[in-house]
Amino acid sequence: MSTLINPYILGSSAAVSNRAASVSAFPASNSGIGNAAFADVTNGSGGAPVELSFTKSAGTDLIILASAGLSSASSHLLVLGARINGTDYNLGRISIQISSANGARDAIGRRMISGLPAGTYTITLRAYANGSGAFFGSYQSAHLTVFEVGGSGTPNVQVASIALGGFTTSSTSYVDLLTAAAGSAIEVTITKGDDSDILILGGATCNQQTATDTITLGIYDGSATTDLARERSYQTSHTMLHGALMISGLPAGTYTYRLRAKTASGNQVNFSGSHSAHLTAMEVNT
Amino acid sequence: MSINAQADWAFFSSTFSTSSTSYVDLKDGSAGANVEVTLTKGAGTDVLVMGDVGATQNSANATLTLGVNDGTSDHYLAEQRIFASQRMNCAGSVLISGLAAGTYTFKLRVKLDVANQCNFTTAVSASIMAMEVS
Repeated sequence: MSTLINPYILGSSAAVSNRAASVSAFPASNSGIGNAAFADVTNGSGGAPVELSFTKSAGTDLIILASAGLSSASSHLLVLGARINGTDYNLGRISIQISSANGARDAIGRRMISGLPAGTYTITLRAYANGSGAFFGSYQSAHLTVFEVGGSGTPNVQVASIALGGFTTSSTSYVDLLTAAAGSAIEVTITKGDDSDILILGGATCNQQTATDTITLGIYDGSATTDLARERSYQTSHTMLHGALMISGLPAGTYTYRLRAKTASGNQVNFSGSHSAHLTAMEVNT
Repeated sequence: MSINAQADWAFFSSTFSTSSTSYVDLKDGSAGANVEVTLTKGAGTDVLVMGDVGATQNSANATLTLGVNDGTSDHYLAEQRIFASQRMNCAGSVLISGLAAGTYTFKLRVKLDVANQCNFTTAVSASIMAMEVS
């Protein structure tokens, strides 16, 4: 009888290619972000930092990709970053202008981090505003994703990128996000091998028709829907949602993932001709 | 084996503005650098490009489209409606197929549906990632 050893489970990097990791947070309560200086983004008040542990090899770089919904009752510049090995790196920024009730925005960005020696690193999502009172809201979400890069690996990827054409919903349970009113679902089909993971990256832009609501995007795998991203959208205001989801433990096979949407309170959200959606499925940790 | 990918980002150092309804290069300020990455790929592979940008309209609403140019062609990434009083982000991705083996520069580009001035100010950012995929 032979014994099969999975080096990924044992933590060795030698036999794992296309290495990536991702973590998401959907907090149940608001948590403050830094005032004029980076502070950890936590998963709710008193919650754990949004962070992950990642092992890299020598001679490689990291690409960090992250987004977070940030809120304020005041006009603020919001800056998103990531902390690695004691250093904060800027990722993205956006500002909120309070003219009526527009107090939620998604900050997003990605950048390459070079020069780190081989080792295991904790990567922590960080954020600050240029003043006090800004927070990561209970109606928002965040994700932090990292890729090990610099080699010749070519992950297996499928992508859908869609200019939307006028789909609306007020459903409080998940419905397929369609390309238009009578359009098709936004989905990708990917075939994976054993001992690998599927990383989903996706998002959309949209706006509220008449009343403020919270919009959630989900990923339907044919049997269940998992939350991907969440954001508050104010009356008539436009919104961006972006999220990531790492799916582990699937056997080799072909899988289809579909983008879905729902509202929290039944107020109509428009995915109009001024909006778009994208969905990527990537086989990683092969 | 790690992934073949490159990334670039910009916290705009000064305001870049455009009213163009056809794609123009996104610059870090009026005379700034492009937001771009250079990637060398092999034969028989594709390139996944992911990008984002934040913007505000100067005085009148418009729809901003974000794209990426591969040296020859423009590719759609995402679009977002932007009001004069608000700053908005948009993000998207595209799988570019059919490129021969070689070195390519992928740069972010933007255009508007109507010729109303759009500003990319020091309150926003942009980023791009290009990854060789199969």
